[in-house]
Amino acid sequence: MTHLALDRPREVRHIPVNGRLGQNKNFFLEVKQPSFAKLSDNTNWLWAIHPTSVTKQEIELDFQYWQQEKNARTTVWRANLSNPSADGSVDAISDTVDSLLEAIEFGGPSLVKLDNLNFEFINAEHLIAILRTTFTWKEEVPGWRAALNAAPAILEKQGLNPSEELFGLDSII
Amino acid sequence: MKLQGAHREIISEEQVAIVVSHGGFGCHAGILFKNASKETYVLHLAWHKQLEAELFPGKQMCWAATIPNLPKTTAKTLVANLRKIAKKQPTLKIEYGVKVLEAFGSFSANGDYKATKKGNGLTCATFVTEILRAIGIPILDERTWPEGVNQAWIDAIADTLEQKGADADHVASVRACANARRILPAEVAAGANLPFKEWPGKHNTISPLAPAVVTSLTQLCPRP
Repeated sequence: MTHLALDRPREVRHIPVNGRLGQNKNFFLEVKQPSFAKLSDNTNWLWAIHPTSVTKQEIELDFQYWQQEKNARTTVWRANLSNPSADGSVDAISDTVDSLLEAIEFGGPSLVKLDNLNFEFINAEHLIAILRTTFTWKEEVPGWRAALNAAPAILEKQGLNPSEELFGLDSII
Repeated sequence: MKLQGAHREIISEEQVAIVVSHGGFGCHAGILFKNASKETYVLHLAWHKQLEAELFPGKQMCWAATIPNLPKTTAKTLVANLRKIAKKQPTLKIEYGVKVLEAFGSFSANGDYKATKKGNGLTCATFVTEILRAIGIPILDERTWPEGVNQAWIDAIADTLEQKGADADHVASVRACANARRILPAEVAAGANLPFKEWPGKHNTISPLAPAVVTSLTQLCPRP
């Protein structure tokens, strides 16, 4: 089976495909454009498979591939966010921002899940970077508002000034 | 207010500077940062669909700078976002347009620019303010700027867009902006120089500071 790379889109027709994909979730897979497809739960994007050779097995394999890609794109920012002693240098912050934006470009802002964080183990600097970088998508990032609400206590605990570092995040665009 | 003459080491890797130079419609604005290799770059919207990320000083040659007093981690986040935008610069085609309020939110932290339904692009000045707005830092309260003050400026932009081959719909959209607000590059520099707790700066605070920015720029960089 061939997975489509981002830089090598293949011709696909716009066809609906019904399939049962991973973790017993029912998805309706609709090919929207070459190299992309959207899952019916309206949250995630999946590399499209060639519609002329679609089988249930291929869809499942492709879903696994998508999960791997998704995990690769969420590893860095999640690791930095969940490590209170993570490096806070501008290069480390850049790694978090790069990984975060890659995740958004890959799967949309809903891929950045801030709704299941353990606020006891959060790195304040990387939390600031994530809240600011996702500011324009704040309504679409699950848990963004809760993370902002939890941020002052986290920042204070780690010696940062919440009223300074969180300045403007409550404003409307 | 006084600007500093911009040079490669004016900022640390954890800082940014708002820079101004002389430009085609008066002043020009951009933003200075260091990339991962610690080289100083200037990111600026040079013209219609012409975003530049240039090794400092770039083609503009002489820039004057002010370093906004951002909180430390917020400044590092801004640098990280600028690095990302600069990497995407060759693919970013930002239209040159003058509807200020309508362009709010058209720019995301990853550099994606998506013209809003009522917007028609950004200027060099609003490009800088939108980068900051994208991470929750509105340095100016543009709603307090007066409308419809400079039809000659609108016409000059529309004429130049037309001469340089911008599509007719875009030219017409700009020319029709009789009520546009004009955010001057010098006002962006003046706003960036305010203590951040005074942001967003209102027109009646910022506007009187702008002439001193131009004077300072001209002292540091003689008009070409």
